[in-house]
Amino acid sequence: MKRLIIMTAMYSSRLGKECFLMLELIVLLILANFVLSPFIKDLSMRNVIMSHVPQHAIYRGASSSDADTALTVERMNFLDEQIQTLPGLIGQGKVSKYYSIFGKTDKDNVTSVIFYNDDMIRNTSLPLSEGAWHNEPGTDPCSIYIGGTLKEQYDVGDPIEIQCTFVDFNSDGSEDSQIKIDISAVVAGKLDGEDFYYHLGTPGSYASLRTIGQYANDQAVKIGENVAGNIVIVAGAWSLVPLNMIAVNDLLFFDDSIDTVSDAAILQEANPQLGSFTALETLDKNQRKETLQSLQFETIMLIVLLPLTLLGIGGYSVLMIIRKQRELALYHLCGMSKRTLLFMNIGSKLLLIIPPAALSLILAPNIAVFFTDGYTFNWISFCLCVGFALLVLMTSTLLGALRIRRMNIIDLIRKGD
Amino acid sequence: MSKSFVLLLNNIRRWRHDLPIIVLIVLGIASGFFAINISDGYIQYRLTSSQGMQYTTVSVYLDQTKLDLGTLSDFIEQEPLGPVNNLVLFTDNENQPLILGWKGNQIERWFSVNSEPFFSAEDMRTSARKVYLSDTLLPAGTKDYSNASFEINGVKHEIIASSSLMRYNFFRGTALSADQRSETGIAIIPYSTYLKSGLSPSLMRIDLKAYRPGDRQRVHETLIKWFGESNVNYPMNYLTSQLSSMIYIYTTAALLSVLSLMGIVALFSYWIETNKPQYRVYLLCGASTWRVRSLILLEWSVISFAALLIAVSVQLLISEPLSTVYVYTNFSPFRIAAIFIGELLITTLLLSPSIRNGATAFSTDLVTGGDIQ
Repeated sequence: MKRLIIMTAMYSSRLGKECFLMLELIVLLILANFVLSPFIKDLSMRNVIMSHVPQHAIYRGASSSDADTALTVERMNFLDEQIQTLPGLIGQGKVSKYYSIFGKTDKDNVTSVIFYNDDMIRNTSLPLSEGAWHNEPGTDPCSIYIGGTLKEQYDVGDPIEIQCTFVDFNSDGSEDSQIKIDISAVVAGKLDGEDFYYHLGTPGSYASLRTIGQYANDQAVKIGENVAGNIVIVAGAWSLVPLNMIAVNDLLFFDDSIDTVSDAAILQEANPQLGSFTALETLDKNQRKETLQSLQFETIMLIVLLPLTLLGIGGYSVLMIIRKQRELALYHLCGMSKRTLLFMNIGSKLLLIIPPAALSLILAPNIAVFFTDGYTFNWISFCLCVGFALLVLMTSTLLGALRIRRMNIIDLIRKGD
Repeated sequence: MSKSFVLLLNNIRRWRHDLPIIVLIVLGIASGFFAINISDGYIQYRLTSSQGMQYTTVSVYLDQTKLDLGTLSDFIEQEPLGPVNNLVLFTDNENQPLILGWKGNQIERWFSVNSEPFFSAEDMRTSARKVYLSDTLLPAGTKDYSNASFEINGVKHEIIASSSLMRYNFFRGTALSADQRSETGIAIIPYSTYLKSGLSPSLMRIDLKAYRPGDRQRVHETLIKWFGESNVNYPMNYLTSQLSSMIYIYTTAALLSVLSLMGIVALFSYWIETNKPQYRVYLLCGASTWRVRSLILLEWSVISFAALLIAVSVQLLISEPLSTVYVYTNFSPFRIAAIFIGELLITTLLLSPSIRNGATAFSTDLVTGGDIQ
């Protein structure tokens, strides 16, 4: 308590300088969070995919003619037969076209529904906060995994009713056809964190990790009504998916005999009619390039923020402690050790981070509501920003204290007279 | 020489005693200038590039039974809607390739090409018999285009290149959808060749630059004048799609500017406070308040000018390594000068309480040896 009183006594009489520093910190924390969050999101997407998809996976993008047209049953069967003959293939992961299927659960009005076939379930997984992925989905044809606000409405093991509406849209946005299917199942698990799921891209999209994965919240605004970013994954029950709702791209899983990077090129050469083949490692490499390109603004902002924080906030903090040198010398003359003085100084600076962190925690998500382009508040990036601000404050205090330490105490008292 | 300048020169000589502090202040202020310059440069770049991308595509459904090809040709040549970025004529007959007559060179908006050639202005002017094909129409085994040709209406056209063209890209945003299911491929020819071949379009799509509320009426009236009461499909306001990312960029840039200004003001107000005893000595020795204030302003100008020089130098130094992610560098001297003067005025305004306070005499403090805060 005594130390706390001394710490607070180190602030200026009207707290003017400290308030100014705290204001700077609020702006810095909000801003740094905005620009860091997309990188963290990209990184976490990479981690999820690379740790939950086997390394011997190759993404097959449909050929332009198949992507451009609605596949007939015969064509789809022919393609599947051709794919099954690929050497070393152990699974063909398929998903439904996620953007076309809207569902109503018995507790929620609008939900995106995505179907995974058995191979997709067997060969991949996603982090779950509760429940488990069924390794043998055939034994339980309708396991349901939920994300978004649905996670608060259902528990694992709860029965769930979903009315799926399969809508095929024309290019002008009008409806072409509609099929309704009712599914009764049991909640088998809840998606973890920001509700990441596999969607296997859209025809013609650039083959990077983003082609495979998606965050439910990124689609929330695009889907329009589904602002909660609710997502329902139906495992198995593949036969329920109408043919024109099956994504034309797939994820092929191979055994260990395949060296995916070189074999993707061989497959491409040998089977041009099947589309393009891209190894998981190549998708990862593409993703890194794409991140730098697509997050151009954020990259620049980070480069600019670094000196601004170090010299602006850090510098101001150093000057604040240098200005207190006479006061600190008096404390020392009155018996306070240099070590205690240093801790007092660092402590008083660290206390200054609490109000800005709390305020920016409230303000950042509220400002982010206006950014409809997939930005969501990210805890990891917020903690990193607070950590960075703390580091700058601590380092600057140490630097200021070191400068004082080198000076003679009497000089400190005399200085300015 | 003015007395303020003499005092300034004396002070500058004295600054070397506090070199680490003055370096810290100058660098801190330089980082503020650097941040504002860079964010201003990026916003300028985004505005310029997004204006470049702000096309709007008007789709005109033409009644082939009433269409006068002469009128259509005049419309295309005269460009009554203003300069068009692309104009595409569509002939889409059942079980036939989709034939597109192309005017313009902003093809990236419709499909991506790597290094393949497209039609030159000369090709369009001379009605060259050249064709750009979708992969599906390429004759089997064609690898070298030099001797390959493709027939349209019984006339051979030289194949200049091919790529994976998708019908979806060309019909996106139109009311024609059922026809998209066709697997018949796409052939693009110059618009002049298209008209010369006697092909009759059922759809004309025009990429116009910018699309503001007033433009729609003007475009509508012009189209009625040329083609009568045509069935025209107008796109949504492009601003809607741009708005989200622009809000993000503006908010972030505004926050960065606020942070930079706060940093600058904080550091210089510290400077004034540190030098307050010295200003008070000047006042005690008979200097007028005005003289001390002008001295502070001169010091502020010198420090900020030094900071600006450092900021611009760093900007120049990092422009090359940053070029992969940052294609715009705001090096217009006029713009940098304008930003500098603007920043100087804003910060001077924000610093005015500190300046006023610094140039106020409390002589008793000094006489009694009171602590200077």
